[in-house]
Amino acid sequence: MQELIEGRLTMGNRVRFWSTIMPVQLRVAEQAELRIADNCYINGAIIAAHEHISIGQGVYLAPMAHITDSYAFGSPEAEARTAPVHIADHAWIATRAIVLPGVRIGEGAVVGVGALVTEDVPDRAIVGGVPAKVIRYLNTGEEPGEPSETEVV
Amino acid sequence: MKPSVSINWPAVQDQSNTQVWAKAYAGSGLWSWWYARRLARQTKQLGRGLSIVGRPVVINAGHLVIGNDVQLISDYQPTRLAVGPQAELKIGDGTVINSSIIAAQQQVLIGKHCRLAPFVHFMDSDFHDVGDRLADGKSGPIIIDDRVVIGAHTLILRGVTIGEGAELLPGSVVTKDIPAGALAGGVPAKVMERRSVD
Repeated sequence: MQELIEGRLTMGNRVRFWSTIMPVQLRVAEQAELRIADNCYINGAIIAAHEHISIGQGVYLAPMAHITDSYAFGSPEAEARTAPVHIADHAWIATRAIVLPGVRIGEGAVVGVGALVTEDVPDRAIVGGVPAKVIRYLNTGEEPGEPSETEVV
Repeated sequence: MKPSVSINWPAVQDQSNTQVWAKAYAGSGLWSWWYARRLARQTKQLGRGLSIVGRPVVINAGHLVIGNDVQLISDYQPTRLAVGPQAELKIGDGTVINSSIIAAQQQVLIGKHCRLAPFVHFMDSDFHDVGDRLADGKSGPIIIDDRVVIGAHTLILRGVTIGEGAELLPGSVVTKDIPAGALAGGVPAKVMERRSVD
């Protein structure tokens, strides 16, 4: 696990980090804030906060998922272009998905593998592709017997 | 490159390994020697002429078979082979794997003379269900035929069969079968060109 914390990092209870596939990387710039709520599973993801990122309860982040709230590609002007990112409770961001600045990911939403999320994701939606589009919605009721379809694109 | 080490390993015979004669090539010196030795202990069957450059990570709880003249290269990141319990991973003769991740929870079969570019990622399982995160996800075997070329940063998901001589463009996400000799790419991967297999 690699972290570079210059700003504020808040973490809830029972947050779990795995660094088996890739090291988890947390970067919080000066005067930035990263909030991670309870029961999150963070497996090899990269989170780079330059303004504000909040991650809700029970969020799953898969290996190489990249969450950033700035267009920081090296130049100072680019770093100035930031927008807060909010990931609501129980969302799942699958392997190698990229979440761009200013995006809100809805409650219980699933971001498919390799997706590039450029717009807000509604609650309980499954999105995928480049750029990410809604593929379908998860069942709203709790139906444990209902077989779910493939998660990916 | 000349082989720097070629040793007959007696230690693996008591683990029912059939044929082990690992060669570690020059390039990372003693490290590759040590990793080849460790790999030989972990595999069920290991062919001749294995070439290791860099430091691969092998976590084997299942059935790992590596053919002859396989190259495991770890230039950009360690090549990671993770084989779950009762899972099977077979790598065919002459396949070159460079800085890729292969996570086998059920079955991953890679044919002969395939080429895997850096950061290719195989996942034959969803690992957890989409709706209920605590339940096990679906899984399906990944079968890669001979002479398949897989571009960098490609993700290959469960239940996918890739035909002989197919080529995948870099950065694609493969969710469905790719026919033999096809040129495919994109997210999700689509066939862009069909070519005849020689």
